[in-house]
Formats: sequence, C-alpha cells, structure tokens
Amino acid sequence: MSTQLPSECHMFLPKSEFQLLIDLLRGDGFTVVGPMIDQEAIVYDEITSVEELPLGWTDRQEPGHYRLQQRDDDAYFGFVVGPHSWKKYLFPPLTTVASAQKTDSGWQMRTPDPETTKFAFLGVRACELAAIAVQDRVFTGGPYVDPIYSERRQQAFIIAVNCTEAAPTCFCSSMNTGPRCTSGFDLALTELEDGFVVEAGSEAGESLMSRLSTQQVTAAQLASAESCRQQAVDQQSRQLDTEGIRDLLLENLEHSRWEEVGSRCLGCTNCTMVCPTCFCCSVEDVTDLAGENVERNRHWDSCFNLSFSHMSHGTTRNTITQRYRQWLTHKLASWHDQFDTSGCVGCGRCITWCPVGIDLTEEVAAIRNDDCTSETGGTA
Amino acid sequence: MSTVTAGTPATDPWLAQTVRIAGITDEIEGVATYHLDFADASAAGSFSFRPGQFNMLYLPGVGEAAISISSDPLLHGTLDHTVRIAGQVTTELARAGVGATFGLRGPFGSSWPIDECLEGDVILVTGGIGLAPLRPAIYELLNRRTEFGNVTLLYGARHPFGLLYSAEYDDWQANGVDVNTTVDRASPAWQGNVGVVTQLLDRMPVADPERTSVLCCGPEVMMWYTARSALGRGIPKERIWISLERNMNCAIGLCGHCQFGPTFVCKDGPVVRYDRVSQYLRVEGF
Amino acid sequence: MSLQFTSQLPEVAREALAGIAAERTIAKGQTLCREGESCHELFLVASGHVGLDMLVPGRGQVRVMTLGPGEVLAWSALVGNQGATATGIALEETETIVFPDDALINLCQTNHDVGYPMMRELAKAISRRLVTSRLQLLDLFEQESL
Repeated sequence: MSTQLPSECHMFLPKSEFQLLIDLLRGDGFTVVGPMIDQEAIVYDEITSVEELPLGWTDRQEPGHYRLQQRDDDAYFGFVVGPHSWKKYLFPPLTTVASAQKTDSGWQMRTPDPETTKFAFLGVRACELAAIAVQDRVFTGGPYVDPIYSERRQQAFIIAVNCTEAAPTCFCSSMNTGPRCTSGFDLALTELEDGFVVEAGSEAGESLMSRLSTQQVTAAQLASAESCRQQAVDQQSRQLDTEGIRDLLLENLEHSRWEEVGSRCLGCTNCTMVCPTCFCCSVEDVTDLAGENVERNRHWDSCFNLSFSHMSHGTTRNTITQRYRQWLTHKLASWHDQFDTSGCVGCGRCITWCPVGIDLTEEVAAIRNDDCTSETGGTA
Repeated sequence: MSTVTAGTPATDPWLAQTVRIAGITDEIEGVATYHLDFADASAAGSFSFRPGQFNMLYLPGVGEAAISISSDPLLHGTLDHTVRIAGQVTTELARAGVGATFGLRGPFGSSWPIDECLEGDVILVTGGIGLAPLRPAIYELLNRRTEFGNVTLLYGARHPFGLLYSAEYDDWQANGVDVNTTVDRASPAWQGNVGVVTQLLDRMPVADPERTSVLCCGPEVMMWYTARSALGRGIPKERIWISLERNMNCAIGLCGHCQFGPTFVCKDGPVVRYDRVSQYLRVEGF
Repeated sequence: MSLQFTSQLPEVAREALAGIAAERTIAKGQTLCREGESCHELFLVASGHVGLDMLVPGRGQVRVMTLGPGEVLAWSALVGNQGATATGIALEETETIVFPDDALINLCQTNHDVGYPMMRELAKAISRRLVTSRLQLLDLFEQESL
C-alpha cells in the first residue's frame, strides 16, 4: 500500500532541534498552524513554539465521545484527530468573496485582492492529506476554480505526521487513505521517543530539510518508525465496506434504514462542520447602516439545515431523514460521480462528534445487509 | 484581448457586473420582464449565452436569485430576464424602476441541445413561467429554422391570463413554430384548449419518433408526465431534455445547495437529459 | 392516419370494429352527447376538437377539458353508466368514428378477440384521461398565480 521511499530521503531530527523547524518557516514568512489544546480538545491554531503543542496528551474517542487524557510519555503528536481540520484555513469558515459599493453611477462590484497569508500546517495526518486532495478536486477541479481556496492552497507548506496510534473511530485503512502518509506533503514526520524520522515529499520540503539540524537516520530508527506506524494499522478496528457503495446507496434511496437513522439524528450539523471534506457554504450580504457598502460573506453551511434546500415555492428536503440521506449519499455515493473520489477519508470525526453517536459505517452496513435491490433486482 | 468562450463568465465567477434596467415589460400578473444593459460596454461585448442558461441577479444588500435568460441569444447588448415575484430578491427587484442598477453574474449552466435536434422534429413542452427559459431556444430554432423538421410548442398555463409572451405567438406561428396552448381552468371567454399540456403531447402526431426531440421545462411533476407521454409515443429517452430547478447560491458548483443526486443543477444543469436524472425524480425529498 | 386509440388494436379487431363503425362529420357547435342524457354511441375523434362541458349552477357551462384526435368520448353507455357525465360539443368541424353501443357491446361479448383488446384500449384511454384529470387537479401552476 505505502510507497517505500528510499532511505536516503529520510533523516533524523532530534527533538532538541524541533523548534528550528517552526523558526525557519516563520522566517520564510509562513504563519505556522499546529495542534494545541483549547477548551479540552486538541484544535489547530497558530503556533510560534513547540511548547504550545499538546505534549504528553492524547485523545480518547468513541461514537459521541471525546476526552483528553494525559499520556505516560512526552509525545508531541500522541493523539489522533480533533474537531478541527485544515479546511478551516484553506476554506475559511467566514470569508468575503465580493463587495459592492453604491456610487454616483450606480452599484459597483469588486472581488477581494489575492491573499497574502502563507500557511504552514504542522501535524497533518494521512486522512487529512487525503481530505485536502479531495477538496482540491472540489475547489480547483473546474470548470470553476474558487480563488480563495486556490490562493491559500498554492501557498501552503504541509508537514505531515504519521499516526502511530488509531482511535476506535478511525477507518482510514478501509478508505485507502492512511494511516501512512504517502504523498501530498512537503515534509513528513514519524515521531520516536527522542526525535522524528523526517522525509521530504517535495523540492520545497527537501530544501527546508537541508536547513534543519538533522542527523543521518539509523536502521534502528527506521525500523522503530516502521513499527510505530504499524501500530496505527493494527489498532484499527472500524471498517467501511466500500465495494459497490455508490450503487448500493443510490439504489436504496427508499430503504427503511433512512427513517430509522433519521429518527436518531438531531440535524445539528456537527458531522458536516467537523468533516474535513464537507464544502457546503452560503453567501449572504452584510451591509453597513447606510446600505451603501455591502460585503458578500461566505460562511460554512450544512445540508442538515432546513433552509439549505429552500426555494421560493418550497423546500426540497423537509425532514431530517431526507437531509441525513442527502449527506450520506453525497459523501459516499454521488461524490464519485462529481469528483471521481469518495467524499469520505475515514477520519471518524463525524462519528466522534455526533451528539448521539451515529456511525456512518454502521448505517452503510445496515443498508448493505438488507439491500432491497439485491433480491428484487430493481428499485421501488 | 483574450477570447471568451460562449456561455461562461468572462471574469472571476464571483465578480458581478453592473447592469442597468433599460426597460420593464409587465407580462402577466406578478411577472415582468427586465431588459438589462451592461454599464460597462466591454462587459456587454464579451457576454454571450446559449439558450437555457441563467444569470445570478444580485441586489446588493438583499442577495442573489438565479434567473434564466429569456432573450434572443443573437441579440447582443440587452438581456431579458422574465421574473416572477417569489422571494426577497425578486420582491426587491419588482420595486426597482427603469435606470436602477444592480449586479449580474453569468451566464451559468448547461443549455438546450439545439445542435442535437438538427433535421429532426422538435417538440417544446412547457407550462407557466417555464416558457421563459425556453424562449431563447424558440428564437434560436426560428433563427435557424431550415435546419430542423417540424417545431411544435405545447404550452400550458393555469388560466388564460397566465399565458406568457402571448403577443408573440402569431409571429412564432407565422415563422414556423406550431404554437399550441392549453389552460387548466377555462374562463367563459376562452375558446382555446382546456386540459393539461401532456394531453396535447398524447394526441399530437409524431411522425418520426426516433428523430424527434422533446425540450421540456415546468414543474417536476409535469416534466415527469411529459417524459412518460413522450416515451409512450416512441421518442427515445436520450432525446428528452428537462430543465431542473433547485436552490442556487454560488452558481459555480462550489456551495452544494443545488445538488440533485450526482447533478449540480447549476453547472451540470439546469438542462439535463431526462434519463440521467429520471431515477431520482420521483424520490420524495431527494 | 394513425390514432393512438386504434393503432394498438390487432388487425382482426380493427377489421371487426370497422364493420360496425361509421364515419361522421360533426359540424362546429353541434353536440355529440349531452350531460345527464343517455347516449347510444361511442365517439372516437379522428380530427378536430371537442369540448367537454359540465353545467355548474351560477357559472353556467364550464369547459373542463378539450378532446382531440385519438381520444374517445361518450363511453358512459358502453360501460353501463346511466348517461353522459359531460356535454361534448364540436369546437370546429370534427371528423369522428362512431360505434353504436348495442352493436359494440354485442361484438365485444361474442368475440373476445375483439372484445378484450377493445376494452383494454378503452381502459387505457380512461386511464390517460384519469391521469390528465389528476394533473389538472394538482393545479401545478397555482404557486405562480398571485
């Protein structure tokens, strides 16, 4: 599964030299974003020092359950994924896409100047690299390209971190998206007790690596990194059977399971907010008091909101059942038609952060076990 | 200057161009056609659209509404949009007078497959305000009349005074479009046909169904039964086209609102081949 | 001319039916059947149009539907109802094919190779009429009216 990179691409970065990585990036004009603890969760925010990383903490996850817990070691990246994903930087939750000013000759519209902020992401997991690749297709695959995503994405520097543990909610192996980081990064780290095995995935990554105080990696360190990564594979217990999943879901749109899950779903939108690939949004006008300066603000929206499918003569998806079905069939089925990939990367966030612990892998399995097309050979 | 592909926005898809209301034609109750001129002559020059495409009309401070273009694609300069007062944007638009400015993004979306209708017969089936997105197709068929066989318009409305563009029917008829209207509810003075539009399709002669195309725009139920009727007449499912309507927010396939199964109605539609969406048309709330 | 009603009938049925049918031209304004009255003929419209009107007190004759080529009317007698449920009036010179009800019933009862396909086509015609009536009932353009 993983592409074995030649060992000469690997170096060893002692933890004592870790801060230099952030310093160099900051010196190059990057805003460095990494994991930190905020409100009892590991989130992503701007960091200037390795001291801000969640050293010695891990997360315990189950459906509808997330708690931080102290580790018995000093790992910087000894956790899995939290409620944030990198989409909050590439596809900001609130941004201005255009503006309008009233002038003597009528309304004049503008779009914002290109972004100048360069982000360096520290601690991107394999499932998150996959999520970025999915959103690349959504926002830059055409025919229209989102200028805001595109600007931020092109400038981003990505430092991946290989998972050495899996949460019970993880199923990236099923989705072929991890846990090993194989592409889509500038640098990738595997954390050992006293440092990191570092590999470069791009010229920019190689160039930065050459400026770090690295050491030649030893065979023992490489073997140790491999066994740490293997642990993340071995710990994965959750699975999603993706065989024929597009047709399975789209041919079972009237399956009774939708009503069943719809009765549990609160329609709270949590799953779509934490999902690293969900891209639904809305643009709304915000105007000054005089009504002469207007900003067109784009904010994250969700297919679980009733207003999302509103039209002047009625709403398309009136029930939570219909909205859950829209979300899941889009994510796992019609995404394939639209973007030639699944919309799910197996990160498990939607399972963890669902207040009632709805697990999409369980929902798909329930439909698969009672596939109403397999017997009758046709849809209702 | 770079060349611009017909039927795509010339600039940043988020950037609205300033347009000015050059004239307003009251059509039927609650429906008016806005004749729009671009404030910037170069924007006007680079704008071209294909029949069936739509624009986002943007009223600053209120929002945007997706409105299909209803003018002749050959006429450059003024763009017509026939608008029914329905939501916030269209209500606000109805308050605007000649000379008012606002924003326009577009054109967006797919178009009627005029070139796939060549040499065959064309049946346009529509109801109510659904005639507006088909009017550019009628103009194009008229502009290229010799390239097609029989062209028939089957048009239904709720009542006789709900028929749009009625002043043009004689002209269309004289130039080779067989115009047939029907109403659901007749007034005492109505001498025309009474009944739903699918009934007109049921009984019209279809000489060569294999080479007949159906272009249909109206409520989904109407389009479903139109397709059913067309299929019953032997018209191939690949030759039946419908125009979908969903909530449109970005118009460029990036916001997710308009999804209809795998279809982004804004960029894969609004005009789609019937057989590509038919399995979802009768799924409630999909 | 191929009419939707007869095109589906087998040749044998078409020939037998032709034996009892007559062509009749109905002048504009002439009535084919009258609401509430017995009608002893089934009409198949070959060309032209027929309005179906119902009397509504206070509103007069209300046109509920217009029939055209390929459509049948005055089936009440054939299916055993007590009389026509609408008045059929020719809106222009209309060519019809007329089936006397006693001969038609007799033919259908004695020759099932004719009777079954005939009743099947009639059922399909009634079904189509029912669908269009339902669509009318749905009032699909109601939201467009203020």
